[in-house]
Amino acid sequence: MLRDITIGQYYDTDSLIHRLDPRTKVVGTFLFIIGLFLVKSIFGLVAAALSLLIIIRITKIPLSFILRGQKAIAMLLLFTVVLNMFMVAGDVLVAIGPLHITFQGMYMAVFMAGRLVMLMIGCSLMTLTTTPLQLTDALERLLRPLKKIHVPVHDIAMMMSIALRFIPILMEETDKIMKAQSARGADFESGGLIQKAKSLIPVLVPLFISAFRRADELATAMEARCYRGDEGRTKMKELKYTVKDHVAKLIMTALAAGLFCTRYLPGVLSTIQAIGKILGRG
Amino acid sequence: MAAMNRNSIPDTINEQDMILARNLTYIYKDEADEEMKPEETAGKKKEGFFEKSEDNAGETAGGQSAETFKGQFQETSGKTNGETTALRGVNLSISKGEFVAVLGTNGSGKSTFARHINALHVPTEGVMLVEGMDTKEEANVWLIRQKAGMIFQNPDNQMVASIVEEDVAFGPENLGMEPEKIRMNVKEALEAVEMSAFRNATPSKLSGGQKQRIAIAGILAMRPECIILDEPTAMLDPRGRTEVVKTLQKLNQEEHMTVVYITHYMEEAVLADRVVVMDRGQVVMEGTPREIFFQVELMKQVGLDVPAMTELAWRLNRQGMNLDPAILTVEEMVNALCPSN
Ligand SMILES: Nc1ncnc2c1ncn2[C@@H]1O[C@H](COP(=O)(O)OP(=O)(O)OP(=O)(O)O)[C@@H](O)[C@H]1O
Ligand SMILES: [Mg+2]
Repeated sequence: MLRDITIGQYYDTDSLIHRLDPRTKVVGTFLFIIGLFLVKSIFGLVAAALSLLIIIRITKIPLSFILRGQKAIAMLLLFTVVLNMFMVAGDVLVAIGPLHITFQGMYMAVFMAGRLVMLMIGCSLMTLTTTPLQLTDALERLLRPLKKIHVPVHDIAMMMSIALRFIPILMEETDKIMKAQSARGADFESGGLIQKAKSLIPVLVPLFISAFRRADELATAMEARCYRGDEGRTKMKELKYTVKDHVAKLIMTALAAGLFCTRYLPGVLSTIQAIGKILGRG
Repeated sequence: MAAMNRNSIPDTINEQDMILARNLTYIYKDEADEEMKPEETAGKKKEGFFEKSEDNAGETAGGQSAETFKGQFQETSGKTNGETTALRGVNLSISKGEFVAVLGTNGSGKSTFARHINALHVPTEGVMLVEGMDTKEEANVWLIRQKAGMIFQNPDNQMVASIVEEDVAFGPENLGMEPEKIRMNVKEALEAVEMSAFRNATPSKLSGGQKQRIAIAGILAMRPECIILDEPTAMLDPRGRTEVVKTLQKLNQEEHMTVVYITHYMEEAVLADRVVVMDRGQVVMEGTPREIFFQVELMKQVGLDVPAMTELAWRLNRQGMNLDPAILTVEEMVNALCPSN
């Protein structure tokens, strides 16, 4: 289960998007997320979904692979849907005792779920097409202005890339520890939420100990390889914008703007309708 | 510290040596004073003396249980009041292009010694010179680390990047090399360890042996003169072990790379030009593999094994056979047993 999480994984297909400057991808993803939050209607959501599908197509990453990676948010998704379905007031469709599902609730649930899934897919597209080191390079460069106010941008970027590097390792280790403890009779499945959480403590303790040991060894290894912060450090792959990057950024800006405009689509449509009616009468 | 076994310091320092340790002593000082267990203290009573622990300093002198006392020992064992003397007066020189294997039981100070070569530790006493540079001098540290690269036991815990190529580039990037030069070094380093095909792979998808070869490439890309490996094969399967050892042999023979190889596998030590045996922080034996392993009894005293075939020859000789006691490999054994072949 834990290994299904695709965030932080890199899927190499050497597509056009893979070869874009990582900064373009960070900015592009950011624009897409903004667009997604500006969307007010199902209309806009469908438009966003379509553009997302086109982008996925260009990355050449199999859709099934991306969807499999979203399993991890299934619980969150379910929670959102259920909450929205029952909590939103409006025209009652079905009533079960004190609970009732409203039309508006259903609409909201579908809407929020769609938005959440697309948000996750958008973010995982960024990490799938960009190596973690490129990604943190991009963030380091994008946030460089903050250095002037003494934000340790390089250190933060390095920490992030190391965290991303060790996520799969620690996941595997968690799996291993859980299996080892299951084999010795530990039970992670039954019991209530509290019971389940309690049974995780014996997993977390060795996991943390191992993480600290790893951190210590990694720090020594980095020092042995002459790491001393960003002073005097160069990059093998220097970030450089090309024409493609500018075009991509333009497209993504247009997409965000387009998504924003979909809010007015129903209004525009009804206006056209109204005008049509007036004209028809006249 | 008078009782310490210390060799006299030679007055000439040979600048030609790649690595030179003179009277190298290192003491680990634990921040938290480790209290000794009462049983332990009781057993060693006659060697040391008791001192009241600070918390009870103002209280009555007598009538306290053993737990309130802290055992204080001087010059008895390795551990002294939270201090561990990991190296005591090590004298060793390793010349350019040599392949040296370092053997020793757990806690004999091998890793501590290795860390001195890389300036990760600086000697408490004595000198450590790498290419004539003193590791004690701050200004030398980065040049020393570039000249003497270090590989550790766990391949996962020494990889920084999630892509092979980027990880290999990490060292040269830290040195501030030109991007063009980095790319060239990375390419050549990956070729040297025969991992070019995995340039864009994720380390987590590689085998242990492959990961360790990537780690070696990461050091090679910094253009070092010497590689120090601290049990690089301890976590690998036999195939991974052979891969790593073959790579090192090739580097040593073709590029004249100096290799300091710490291992617990006697079969790997056989391949070295010279074997150094450490015991309780000192170098106790030094010589060619043949000279060392031939002394089966001595090796056993230090708590080490000898290669299986040497052991076999030794046992057969004890049973009255008359074999060359310096047999190291299966081939030699076969030849000794069936001379007609
Ligand atoms: N960080 C430390 N703090 C305190 N004592 C230490 C530390 N590291 C090692 N020691 C002690 O120093 C001595 C030498 O340790 P070292 O790690 O050099 O041995 P080693 O020969 O590498 O052993 P192994 O074969 O187990 O790797 C041991 O007694 C050990 O307990
Ligand atoms: Mg060690």
